[in-house]
Amino acid sequence: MYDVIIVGSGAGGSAAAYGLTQAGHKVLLLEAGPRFNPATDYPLTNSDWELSLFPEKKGSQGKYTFAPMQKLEARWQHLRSKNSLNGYLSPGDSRIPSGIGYHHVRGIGGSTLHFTGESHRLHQQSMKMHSLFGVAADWPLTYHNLMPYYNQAEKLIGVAGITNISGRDYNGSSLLPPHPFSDTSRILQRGAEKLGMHWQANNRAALSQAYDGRPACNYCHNCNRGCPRGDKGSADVTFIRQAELTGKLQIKTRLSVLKLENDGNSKISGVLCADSSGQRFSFSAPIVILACGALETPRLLLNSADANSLEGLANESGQVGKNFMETLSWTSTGLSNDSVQTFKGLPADGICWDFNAPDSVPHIIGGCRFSSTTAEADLSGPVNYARRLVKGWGAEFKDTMRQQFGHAITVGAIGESLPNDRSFIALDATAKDEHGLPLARINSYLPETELRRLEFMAKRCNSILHAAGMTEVIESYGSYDFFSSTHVFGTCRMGNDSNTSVTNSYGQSHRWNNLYICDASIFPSSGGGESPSLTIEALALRMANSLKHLVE
Amino acid sequence: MKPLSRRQLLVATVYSAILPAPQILSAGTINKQASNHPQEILTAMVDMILPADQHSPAASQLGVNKALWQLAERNLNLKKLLIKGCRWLDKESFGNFITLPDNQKIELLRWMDERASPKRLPGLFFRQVRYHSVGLYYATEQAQKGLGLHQSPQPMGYPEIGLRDN
Repeated sequence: MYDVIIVGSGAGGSAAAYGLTQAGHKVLLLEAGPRFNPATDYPLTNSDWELSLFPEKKGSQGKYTFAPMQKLEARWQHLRSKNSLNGYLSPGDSRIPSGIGYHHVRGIGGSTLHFTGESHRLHQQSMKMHSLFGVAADWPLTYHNLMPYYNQAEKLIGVAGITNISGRDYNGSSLLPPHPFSDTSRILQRGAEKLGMHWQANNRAALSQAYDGRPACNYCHNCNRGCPRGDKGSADVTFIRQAELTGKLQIKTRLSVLKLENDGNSKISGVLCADSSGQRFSFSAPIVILACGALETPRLLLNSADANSLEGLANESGQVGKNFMETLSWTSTGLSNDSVQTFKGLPADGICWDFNAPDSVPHIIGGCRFSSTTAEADLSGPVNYARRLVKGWGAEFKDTMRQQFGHAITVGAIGESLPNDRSFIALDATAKDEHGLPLARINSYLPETELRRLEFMAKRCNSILHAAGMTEVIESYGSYDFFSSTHVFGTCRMGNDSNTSVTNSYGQSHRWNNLYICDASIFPSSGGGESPSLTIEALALRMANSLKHLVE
Repeated sequence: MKPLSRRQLLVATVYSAILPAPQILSAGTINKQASNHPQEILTAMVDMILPADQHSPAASQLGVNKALWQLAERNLNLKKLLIKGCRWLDKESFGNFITLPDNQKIELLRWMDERASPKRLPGLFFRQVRYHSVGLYYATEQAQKGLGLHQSPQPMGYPEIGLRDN
């Protein structure tokens, strides 16, 4: 009945569904979460909009656990998160998850629903980390193998931005014009340029002009709370919408995949699912694609262990769950004396790529980037000013609120996360989901190299603020004491050698011929701070293009 | 600020018994007749934290006191803290915080904010009430107008940003 089953509808699953349905194949898309309605689910028109983040619906958050994380050390004290109102933000002497820790959305569109929408291509050298720098692993494909699919994804989404970015070839691209800078970016540009850094327009999955039946962005500053207009290029309003127009896509929501069944030879023979009531269903198709993300994809494979795959499905190399890479990040916030209103504008509209190449941070392998981050720091409205930035109470406090509201400027950095033996995903020995299956357990460790890169990022963020005229960093927040990841990678690494990788360059399992993976779990390296959604989508389109012939 | 934990509440309550007394208690007599409901005490407290001025009303005029209590109805640890904190406030206010002159209310709250340990009842109570009440206050249209903010992010957005040149 179906040519392809796709599990998961985030960036990878949606782009794969698009590519396959465009080629005429019948696709069944299984999604554990719900479907969100942008027009009604994102409450940005209410005065109390700031009291909640992206809305939760039943089933829209996955469950997982954390292994105890590393002890904090006095020598890295300057990397602890703090704020001028509350002091140090982590209460103990160990690193801990920040809130739920892995910030994601389950639902049609996956985490693109709450993402900022940065649309980055990987630096070409970031795909050759092992051969050039002796760390991580090389990608089994080149930038130029991926380039046509980058072009295709950007065109479909309506990415707005620029093409003169170092380390990338944009030949054949067709971007919309870049967005004008917000006040945050104007101030940060001033600081960065004083330090000799180059501040550019960031490439963004947000429309700078009406496109493909969607309106232009109106600069409300709240991409992370969900875009009610549909101008943000989340997967639901781009890839999924186009796939549904073909009439070839069937979507089933709130259906959890429990296990992949196999024929004992080389094929996946069935996909076993359950709904929230526990009722079970089984589907089969010639091709099965996993796109559940770097936590749930390895979990599903490990939970699918049987007599034919004792250590987990597709785990002949022992690499399923290994090489876990997280979001290494830092933000610094100051208050500008300029006449500004930083709650207006497009989040992450400006960026500096100067330190993005893997060898560009002095004495440390692995790059990073700097960008305007006031919105991601959730400083878009007065509630967080009052709770986090403005001291005191009473009449004086209200006066200070009036003076300072709109003046917060946050600069952020995201850096390379290199794999290490102590960072991996495993099955939890005791915690189980509602179907009785073990949860994924996150093991995260930041070795010295990562902390030194983080230190560079922190110092540079503070320097940019100071150079831009802010005398005090009033809040800083980073990965040293908090695990707080929006991007996770690497737990089903792709490669040419079946002894050291889970899939080939098309995401195809080395052993199970009809099993494919198209999410960030197949990344051999994380990149130097690039947001991964565009690369996931390009990989999925490339995989779908290859499957066009296989299905036939 | 993280959600109030049971352990935080326990530690705060136990240690409140050995706190040094606020300066305000150096004089005056306790009004043993007073027995204010915690919601009435909270109303007086949030109006000291967020008083009316020429730009925006006091917290209770915008329903912050009621919203705070509704929040506590859904969070048992917070409710316990508010009840214990209000009792403590009354006790340390000659028996009646509500009737205390404003300058003495300010003195007492300032001590809670600046000198009381955030791990003990008075400090934890003050910080939780401040955190929630400023959040609830600035989530209202009138308080936002007082800041010169005349709209929510949507449906209008800020299209003037799109007219700029880089």
